[in-house]
Amino acid sequence: MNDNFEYLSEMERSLDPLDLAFLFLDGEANDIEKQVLFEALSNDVNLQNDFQEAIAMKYAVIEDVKDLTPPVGLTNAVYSSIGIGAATTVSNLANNFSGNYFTGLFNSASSFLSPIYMVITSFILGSLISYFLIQNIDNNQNQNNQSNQNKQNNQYNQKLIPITKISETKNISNIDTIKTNNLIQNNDIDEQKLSQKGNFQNLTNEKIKNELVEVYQYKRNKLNPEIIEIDTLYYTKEKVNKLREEQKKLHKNDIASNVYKSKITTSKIDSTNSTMIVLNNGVNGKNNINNNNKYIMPILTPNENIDYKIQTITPIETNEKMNIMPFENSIFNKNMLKYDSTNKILSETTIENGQISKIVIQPENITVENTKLENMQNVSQNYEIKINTINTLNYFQNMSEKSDNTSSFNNLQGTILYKISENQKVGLSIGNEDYPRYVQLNSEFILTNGLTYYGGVYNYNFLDINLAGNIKTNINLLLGMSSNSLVNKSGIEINWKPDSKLTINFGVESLLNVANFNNAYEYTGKMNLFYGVSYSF
Amino acid sequence: MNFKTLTDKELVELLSLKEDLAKSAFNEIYLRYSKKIFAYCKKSIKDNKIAEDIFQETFVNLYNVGRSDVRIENLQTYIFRIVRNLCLNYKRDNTQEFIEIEEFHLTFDEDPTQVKELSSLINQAIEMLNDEHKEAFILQTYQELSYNEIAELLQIPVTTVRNRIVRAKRKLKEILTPYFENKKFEEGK
Repeated sequence: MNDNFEYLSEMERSLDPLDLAFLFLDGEANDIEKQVLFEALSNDVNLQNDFQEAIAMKYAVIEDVKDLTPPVGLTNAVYSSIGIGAATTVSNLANNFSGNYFTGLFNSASSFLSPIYMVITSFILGSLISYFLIQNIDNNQNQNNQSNQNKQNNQYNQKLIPITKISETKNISNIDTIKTNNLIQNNDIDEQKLSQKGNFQNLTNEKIKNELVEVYQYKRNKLNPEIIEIDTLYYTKEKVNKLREEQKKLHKNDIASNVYKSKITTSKIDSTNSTMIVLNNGVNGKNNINNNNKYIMPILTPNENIDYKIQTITPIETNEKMNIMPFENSIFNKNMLKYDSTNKILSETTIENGQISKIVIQPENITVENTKLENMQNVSQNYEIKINTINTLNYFQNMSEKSDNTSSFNNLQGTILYKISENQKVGLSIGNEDYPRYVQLNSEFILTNGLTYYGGVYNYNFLDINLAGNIKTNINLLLGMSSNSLVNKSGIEINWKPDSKLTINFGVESLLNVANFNNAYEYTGKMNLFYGVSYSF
Repeated sequence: MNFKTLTDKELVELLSLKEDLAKSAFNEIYLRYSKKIFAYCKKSIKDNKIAEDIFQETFVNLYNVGRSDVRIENLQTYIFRIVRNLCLNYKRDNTQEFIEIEEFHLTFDEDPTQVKELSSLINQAIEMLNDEHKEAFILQTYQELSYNEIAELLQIPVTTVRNRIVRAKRKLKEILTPYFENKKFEEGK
């Protein structure tokens, strides 16, 4: 053995076959060295023995390394020294399934517990966020309501501004006389009689087809006759019909013969079709016809601050002695009550020979907006049954860092909801989802799919959008359980109601499943796309 | 954040950030290197208690350095430098007497498994190596570092590393010759 071996040139060193054997076993021999080694091995029996012994030594070292693991107590000491917390003995568990020593999140108590803390923290944080969100939404809604109220009050106040412009007038088809700019003046109205019975009831006949009918009730303010007070009531269809009958009986001998059910079709100036509703003027009957034979009428129009022109007015029935009388018309969503602030009327109609001869409309007057009309459809619908299909968009790795990227389209969730307020629903849900959970079995983790859960559901409607019908935007929360786990879902859902009872649902949600397998916690998350239908009753 | 996918460099950067991230990054570093560092300590220092103290001090030092403004370019090299320096300091302060080969007697267990027996003998034989050879051998076999990595760590030429490792293995084989001869004899019976 040469003591100066270290200082030999590489060429000189590489000529020793035993040295080449060591280099080869360390993976450090180059191609030339390997060739030299293999040639030597094929001819030299002693070298073959040495080579076997070198292999035995290497194998013994490898086996020795496997047994060299820091004791748990030592790991605890290290972690405690830097303030992480005590380690546990579960590191071996992680080692077993990971196939790689010292990998996996089970290696320390902190990392083992952190998912649990994370879940608890997420739950608390999510609840707080939801609470504040809901509070803010409520506040905003209250502010909006207040704003609307102020706006409405302002509108009332604006009534005092004289409006002189009179919109278009048009004759009725069977009337040959067209009178334009036939303004109604104060002295044209029997103010005293009007105020005595000044209680008009109006309704939108579109709504009368549905479950609820919106009725405006307005009257003059007793202290300030310049102001008309307006209340909005919601009657059931049955009640409206009942009122009609009562009105008929009450005014059997005192209702003008010239109260008409008429159809008035209007269009916006921008040519978008809409409908204007002309209602009769209530209980006074013929008393509302002034000396000039003009009939005072309220008018409901679909939108706010838009000029309308009447296209046609078609009497449907004549001589019908009814007080509340809807008119045939098409759908409208927002109603607006228009009236002349100067004369406290909405419009006037000239009656000639028992027929409507002319209608005058004040389209640019101050308006009162009703934004709740469509929503009132749901007043009496307290229950909702919902079926959603759930498609997985993405699985997140679980704490074993195992994930399944296979999307599933076989998931279903059924829910029944009860409305506890205008924008809140609670209910029960049962669902089944493919779910990439890993069950621990003899130190190995086996993928299991399928999760059947039961849970409570909370639904909060935070935004209504009146486009293409009735669109609602909801926050959904679900907290449930399965055989060995807790399920937590939260998501945003958009509802479209093409019908008063049928709803199309669409939304996204995130799901967190916390399971306990053999006293070891496992959590898995995923993101879902869901869609389905619901039926209200 | 999945720390397993982060590189050493990224983990080192996280060490200097807020405490939660730093601790998580440290956890991953510990998972990656604790076994190797522990093996190095155990093989370099005979006293188990001292070896464990050095092991602990290594990681605490690493964490503290990571939290400071000191820039760590290569985590693996840096952490081995820490443990190596600690071991060298200990050896310097507690000079160990070399056991001459003539005084060294291999002790054979009566009925060990062959691999365990040889592992045990190698552990005893390692103590016969001089510090330079022993260190190179440990880094290569127990830390699974390449010759280039060892050269970078020790800041010596690669050829020197190769020579030291080969020397060490030759010497170990020489020490273990009686064992191998005995095995051949038993197999020939």
